[in-house]
Amino acid sequence: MLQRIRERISPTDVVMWLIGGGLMFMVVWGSIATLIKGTYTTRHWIDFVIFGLAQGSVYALIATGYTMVYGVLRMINFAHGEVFMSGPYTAYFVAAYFYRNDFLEAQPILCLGVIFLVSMAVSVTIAFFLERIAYRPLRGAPRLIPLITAIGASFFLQYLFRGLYGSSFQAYPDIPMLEGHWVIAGIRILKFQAVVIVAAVMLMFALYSFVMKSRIGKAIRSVSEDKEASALMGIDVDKMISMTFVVGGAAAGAAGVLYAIMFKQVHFFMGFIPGIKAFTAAVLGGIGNIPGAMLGGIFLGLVESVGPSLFLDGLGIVAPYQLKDAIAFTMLVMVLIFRPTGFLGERLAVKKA
Amino acid sequence: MNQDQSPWRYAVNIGLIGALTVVMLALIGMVAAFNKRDIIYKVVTMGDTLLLLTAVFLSFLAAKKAGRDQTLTAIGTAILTGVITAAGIALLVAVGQLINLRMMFINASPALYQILTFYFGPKLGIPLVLLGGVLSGLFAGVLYLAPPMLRKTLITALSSVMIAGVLQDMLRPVISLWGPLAKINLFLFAANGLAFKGAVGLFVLVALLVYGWGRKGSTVKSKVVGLPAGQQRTLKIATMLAIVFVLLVLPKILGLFLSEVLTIVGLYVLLGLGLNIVVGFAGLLDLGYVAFFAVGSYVVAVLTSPELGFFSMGFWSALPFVMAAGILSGVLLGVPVVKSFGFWSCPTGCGRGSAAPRASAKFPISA
Repeated sequence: MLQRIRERISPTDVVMWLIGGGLMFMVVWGSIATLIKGTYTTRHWIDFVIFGLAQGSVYALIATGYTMVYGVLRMINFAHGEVFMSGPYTAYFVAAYFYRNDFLEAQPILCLGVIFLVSMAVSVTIAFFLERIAYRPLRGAPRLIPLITAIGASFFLQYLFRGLYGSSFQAYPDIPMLEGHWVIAGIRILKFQAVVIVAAVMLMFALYSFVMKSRIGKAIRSVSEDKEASALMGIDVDKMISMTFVVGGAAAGAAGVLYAIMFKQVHFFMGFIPGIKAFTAAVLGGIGNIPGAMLGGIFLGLVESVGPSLFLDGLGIVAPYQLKDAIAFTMLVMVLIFRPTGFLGERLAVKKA
Repeated sequence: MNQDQSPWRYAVNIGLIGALTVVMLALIGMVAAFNKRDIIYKVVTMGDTLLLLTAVFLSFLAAKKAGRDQTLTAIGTAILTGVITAAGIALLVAVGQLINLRMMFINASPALYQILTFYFGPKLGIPLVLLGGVLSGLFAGVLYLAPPMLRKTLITALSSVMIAGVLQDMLRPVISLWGPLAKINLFLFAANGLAFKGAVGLFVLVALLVYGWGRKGSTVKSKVVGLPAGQQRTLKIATMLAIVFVLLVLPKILGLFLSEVLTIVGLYVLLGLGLNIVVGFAGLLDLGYVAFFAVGSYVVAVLTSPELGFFSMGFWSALPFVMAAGILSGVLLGVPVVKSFGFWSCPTGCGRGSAAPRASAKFPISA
């Protein structure tokens, strides 16, 4: 009996379970302590949740790009964070132009539409050429090579934009329409957060229905199932891979504008952290799975926003909000240890790898 | 690129890439920054060289696509590529005159346009830029069609002139340490960059050397190959010993700065060798590999710190302990990563690499 248990459980597993259990215990203990202490009122929690939803929906939009590219190419596009950065950074100049000419006050919706379109167009262009120049020549190379290329491309794009637009933080102009707050059913909600959540959900819905319903979406899904068979069925595999990058780039560009509306600034390095977070979100949801990425993104945003106050405040940690990144990445490591396929992933990541 | 593409089509494609490249180089500020350094004093700057190299290289590729048999096509495609590349700059200058690009691209300054038009202003500058494209295309085409011997000589001589110009700040102090030979400096270098006579002299010298080696090199090589096995081994060992001797002497010759550069090179070589074991032999892309680098430097800092009192030790006696610490952390962190999630070691390693410095920052050595 003991022999059999010893065979099935390796010492590494025991250590892993101990770490996981310890962390779980800390989380539960911290939450209970925080709730008993009662520093935060219900309104605080609601604010945290709304902010988490807004941030999470932006992560979710970026994460779809990661997950779709992983689906068709089985590689992680580490340069996706830079695709995300390129759009809003370029659209900033359009926004600043509108602001100087007072268009932004006169025609806010039109201006926002143009900003979105510019941002998406730039991100799509960058994503398209990224695939064309950096990844297509490496089709069929060992999987390590595109991965390292992606890291290189990421640095290249970062410093390209640093050279083009300068290395300072640029403040996105305020949009008067999005200042202030609404009260819905007794809940105070900041206007820009509401707009970000609604826009992100609409975009996610559009993206999901595009992938599920349209002809191109069908072709993309078939390529991600089996490249050879799709080629035999008359699908242009290269074109569909390009399309995947285009769709992912569009989502990233739109997410970038939402991010800029939320945090009111752009910078050449702004893609790195959201990119890593969105990658975490994609892994959390099960990489290769679009609803999973969306779910993972929103979950990650919520945990990041609620987590520091809930888990850490009760443990007596000062300024817990600085540790939100630690919470996000600890969650990534935990998910990878205990459920490497993510929440919704059916495929075995290890087997495919 | 597919094989059946016509060379002209290819030339246009590659020329567009070239145009994009040069416009990008100009707009990210590389041309303006490099322009401060002359390669040949008051003749060619590094910024010009950057643009020229792009045009020449791409034109060379275009000529290569046409093939050696079609002389006219090769030269024609090369010129076409060169012109399209130059047209990128011309377009940038023209657009820059109409719109103030500086609102968006911070480097699109009047100084940049001055550099790009060879200080002649846009009216005269744009045709000149296009002419420059034609000339560089022509040069690349002729270079491609030239006999291999001549091409090799030309390329090596030109690149050594360029390297001497780029690395002048390193070469000058080194040469000045050579006693009577330090007069070379006066011949070779001017205030900023190579002197014209120095550049020509260097070009001729290197060209003669390469040409001479090209004619005699094969006979020397065949002589070496013809040697009996025992003597070949002695020759190999002698070469190795010579290299080791040079490496040992180098810090004396090169002075402080270059020795430090070489030390960093050595560090990277060592890191690369280690990573090669993980990535190359084990097939794991371990992005957290530098964490062990951090562990090593941290442990050596702790062990050699005078605050340890009795236990404080010198660098060499600390070295084995540092290696042991590196091995230990490698085993501790590596085993679970490999066992539990194969491919996913890469993102976790990523997290570990960024976590290690923070972890060590939590335990500062000074009390």
